[in-house]
Amino acid sequence: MGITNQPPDLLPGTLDLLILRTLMRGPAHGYGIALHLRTASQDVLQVGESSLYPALQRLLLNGWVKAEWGLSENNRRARYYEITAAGRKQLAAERREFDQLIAAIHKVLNAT
Amino acid sequence: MRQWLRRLRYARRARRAEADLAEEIAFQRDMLQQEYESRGLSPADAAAAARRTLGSVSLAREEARDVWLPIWLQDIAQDLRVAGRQLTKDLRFTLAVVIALGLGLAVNNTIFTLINTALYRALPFDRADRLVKLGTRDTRGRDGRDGGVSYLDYQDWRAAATTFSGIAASTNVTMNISEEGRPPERLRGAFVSANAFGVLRATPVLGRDFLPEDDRPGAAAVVIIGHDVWQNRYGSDAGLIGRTIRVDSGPATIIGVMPAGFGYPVTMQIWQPLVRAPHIIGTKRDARTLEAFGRLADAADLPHAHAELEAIASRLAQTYPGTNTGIGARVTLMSEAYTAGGRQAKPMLMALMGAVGFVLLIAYANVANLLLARSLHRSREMAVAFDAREIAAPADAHRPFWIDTSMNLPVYLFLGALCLVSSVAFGLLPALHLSKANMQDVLKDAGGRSSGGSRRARRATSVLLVVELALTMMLLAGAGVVTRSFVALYRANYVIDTTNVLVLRLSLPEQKYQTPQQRAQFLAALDERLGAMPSAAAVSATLASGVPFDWSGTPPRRVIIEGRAAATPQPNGVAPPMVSYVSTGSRYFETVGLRLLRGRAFTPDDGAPGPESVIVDQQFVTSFFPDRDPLGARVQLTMPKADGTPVTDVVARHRFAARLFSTWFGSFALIALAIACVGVYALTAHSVAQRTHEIGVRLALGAYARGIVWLFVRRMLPHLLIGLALGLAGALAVGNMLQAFLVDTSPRDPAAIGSVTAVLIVVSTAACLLPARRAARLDPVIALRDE
Repeated sequence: MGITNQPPDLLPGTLDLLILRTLMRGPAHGYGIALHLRTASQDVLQVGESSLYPALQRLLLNGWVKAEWGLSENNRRARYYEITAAGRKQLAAERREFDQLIAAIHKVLNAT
Repeated sequence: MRQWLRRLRYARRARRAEADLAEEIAFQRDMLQQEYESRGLSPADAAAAARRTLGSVSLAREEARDVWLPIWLQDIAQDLRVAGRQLTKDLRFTLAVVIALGLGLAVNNTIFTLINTALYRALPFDRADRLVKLGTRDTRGRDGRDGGVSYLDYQDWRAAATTFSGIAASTNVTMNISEEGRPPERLRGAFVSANAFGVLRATPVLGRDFLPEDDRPGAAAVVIIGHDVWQNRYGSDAGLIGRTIRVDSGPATIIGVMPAGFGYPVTMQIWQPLVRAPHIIGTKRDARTLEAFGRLADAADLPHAHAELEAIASRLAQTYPGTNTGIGARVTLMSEAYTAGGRQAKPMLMALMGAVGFVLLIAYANVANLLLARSLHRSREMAVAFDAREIAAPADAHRPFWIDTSMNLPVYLFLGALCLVSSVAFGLLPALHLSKANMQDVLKDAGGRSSGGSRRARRATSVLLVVELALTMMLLAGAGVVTRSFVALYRANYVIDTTNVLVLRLSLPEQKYQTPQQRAQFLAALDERLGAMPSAAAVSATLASGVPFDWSGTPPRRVIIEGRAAATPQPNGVAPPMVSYVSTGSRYFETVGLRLLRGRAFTPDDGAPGPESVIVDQQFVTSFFPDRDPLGARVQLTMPKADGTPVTDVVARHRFAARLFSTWFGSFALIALAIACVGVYALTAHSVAQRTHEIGVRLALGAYARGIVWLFVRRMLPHLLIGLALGLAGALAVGNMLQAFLVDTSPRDPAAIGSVTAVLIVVSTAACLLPARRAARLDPVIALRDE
C-alpha cells in the first residue's frame, strides 16, 4: 500500500462508486481520476496506484467502463476511461445503496 | 458468462494488457511529478514524491492482473510451466515415460474399441433392439438343432403372428448380372421378401423399395443393387433406375440402390424379391432354408413373441404332422445373433484386455516409482496427447457391414475414465508410498546411498517387473506362433505354384439347370471341352468346387470310416471328426501341379452313382489309417445337420475375426515388448541414478567397468529368468486358445517360442545394458560428489 494511500479507509466498494461518479463528468485518464478525487475531497482522498488500477480493471471486467487510448492535454498517449450505459445503471444502484447505508449509520450513531 | 469472455480475451493478450498498464502508470507518475515540480520541488524530489504518492507499482500490477485471472488459474499455469521445464530437462526419461504410457493407453483403447464393437455395439438399424431373428428348433433330435424356416411355414407365421410389426425372410444366393457392353459379374446376392428392408427400416438412396406386388408370382422381375455395385459397375449413374439388365438367365429391371455400407444379411450386393428364388413356390414344408427376421410390435416383448410363435408352430404341427411334428420356434434378438461370433471370441478379447490392462498398470507403476525420486509432474498430459494417434481400424473387404470399429461415445468415455484413473493413480501411488514410509528408513536411505528406495518399494518393483516380463513373454509366444502359422500358410501356397494358375468362377442359374442331372450334364460337357483346349491356351484346366486354401464353397463333412470304431460316433457324445473336402473334375492335380503319391486320379466315371470314390491327403492317412492301407478302404462322408446359421455368414465372420486377430495380436505383442523394455530401461536407469555415489566409490577403489555393468545386469537377470519361466508356463497353458487361428502350426511350436524367448532375452538385456554402461563410464570424481 502506498504511504499516503486513503488516509481514512474507504468503505469496501466505495472506490468503484467514486470512480464511476467521476467518469460521469466525462472521459478521464487514471491521473485525471485520481486528481479529481483528491481535489473534490479537498485532499482527503489520496488514491494510490495499487488501489486505483485494480479498481479500474474491475470496472472494465464488469463492463461498466470502457477504455481507449487518446492524447492527453500535454499531447502524451494516455488511456481514457469512459462510463458505459451499464456503468451508469450500476452507479445509480450503488449510490442508492450507499445513501441507505450512510443514513443507517447516521441513525445508529445518533440513536440515544 | 460475458465476464469470462472478457477474461479470456484478456488472457489471450495478457502481455499487451500489462504493457498498457505499465504505460498508464508511467504516465500518471510523470503527471504527478510535473505537478510537484510546478509547486516548486526539485525534479529529483518531485520524482520521489510522485513515487511515494503512487505506492508500489509492482503491487498495483499484480493486483490488476488478479482482477482478471483468478489466483487458482494462475497457480495452475505456474505448475504447468514448472512441469514443462522439468519434462524438458531430462528428455530421454520423459520420452520413455510418454512412450510407455502412450502405448499402454492406445492399446487399451484399441482393445476396448474392439470389444465394444464385437459385443455391445448396436446394429446399424433404427431401433435395432426391436429386431429379432426367427427360426425353427427341431425338438425331435438329441440336441435340438436350430434351423431355418420353409417358405410355407414363413407365410403361415406371417399371416398368424400379431406380436410383430413385420416378419421378413431372405435366402442368400450368388447372382450373375450381365448386359451389353459390360463383362458379366458374379455378385453376392439375396432373395428377400418385399417387406425386408421395411422391417429393417432401411430405404434405398435411389429409386424405390420392393413393393408387395413385386413379390407375387408372375410379377415383372425387379432388382435392387448395392451402393458399391452402383458406384463401381455403373459409375454412380443417377439415371440407372429403370434400366433392364440380365440377372442370371432373365431380364430384370433395376428399381433401387441401397445406401453405402448396407449389405444385409452379410455383405450382399444385389437383392431380388423372394418369389423369384428357385423352388420357392410349391416347395415342401420341410425345406427349411429361409432365414426369417422380424420387428417386434410396439406392445410386444421377446417372451410374448416367442410364446406366440411356439403356439403357431404347434398348430402347424397338428395340421401338418408329416412335416412339422416336433418343430418348435426360435426367437432371438438380432443383435445377439450377430454378435454371437464376437461372444465366441469374448474370452480371447477379455484375455487381451486383461493383458494390456496389466501392462498399462505396470507402466504406471514404473513411472510412479520414478516419480518418487524425481518430481515428474503431469507427464500424463503428454501421454494423452500421444494417444491421440489412434490406431486406425482396418478397412476390410471381408468385414460384414454391421461391424463398425470406429470410436463412439462409450469408447471416448472409457478412454476418459482410463486417463482420469491413471492421473489419480499417479498422484496417489507415490503419495501413499511416501506417507507409509518410516521416517527412520528414509533417513537411513539418505545416509546409505546404495539402497535404491525402501525395501518394500524394491520388492514391489521386482514383482511388477517379473509379471510384466512374464506377460510380455506370453504375448510374444502367441505372436510367434501366429507368425509361424502365416509362414506355414505362405509355404503351403508355395507348394502350389500359383503364378500361372488362373481361377474362373462359375455358378449355374437354378432356373435354367433345375435338376442335378442337368447340372451334371453341363459340367461334364464343360469338362470335356476344357480337356480339349489347345495346349497353347492352357496346359491344363479342371473343374473344382473350391480353389486351394479357400474351402468356403463346400462345408466340411463328418467322416465315418467303415470298420473303425475310433472314428465312429462315440457314446459319450464326441462327434465324429470333420474333414473339409473339395469336389473336383479330372485333371485337378495336374492343373494345380500336385503329384499323386499312391493310387490313381479321378476318371470321368468316378462320381457317378455307384462307383463313388475319394482321394485323401497324407494328413488324412496319418490321422485315420496309421496302421492300415487306405487304398480300397471305404469311408462315409455325411453332411452334418444344417444348423441355423447360413454358411456365408459363418465364413465371413470367421475370416474377419481371424484376420483381425492375427494382425493385431502381433502388434500388441510388439507393443508389450516395447513397454517391457521401457520398464527395464527405466528401472535400470533409475537404479544407476540412485547409486551414482556408490558407483563413484567403487570406481575410485579401482572397480572395473565390466564389474559395474555386471552389478546392474546381475540384478535384472533373475527377474528376466523368473519372468521368462512364468511366461513360458502361461503361454503353454493358454496356447489352446490360439488353435482355431492357426494353420499347420502347433500353439506350442518350439521354433516360434524359442525364437521369441531369444528376442525377449536380447532386447531386455540391451535395455538394461544401455544405462549400466553409462554408469560404468562415469567419472568417479563427479560421481562421488553426487548426493
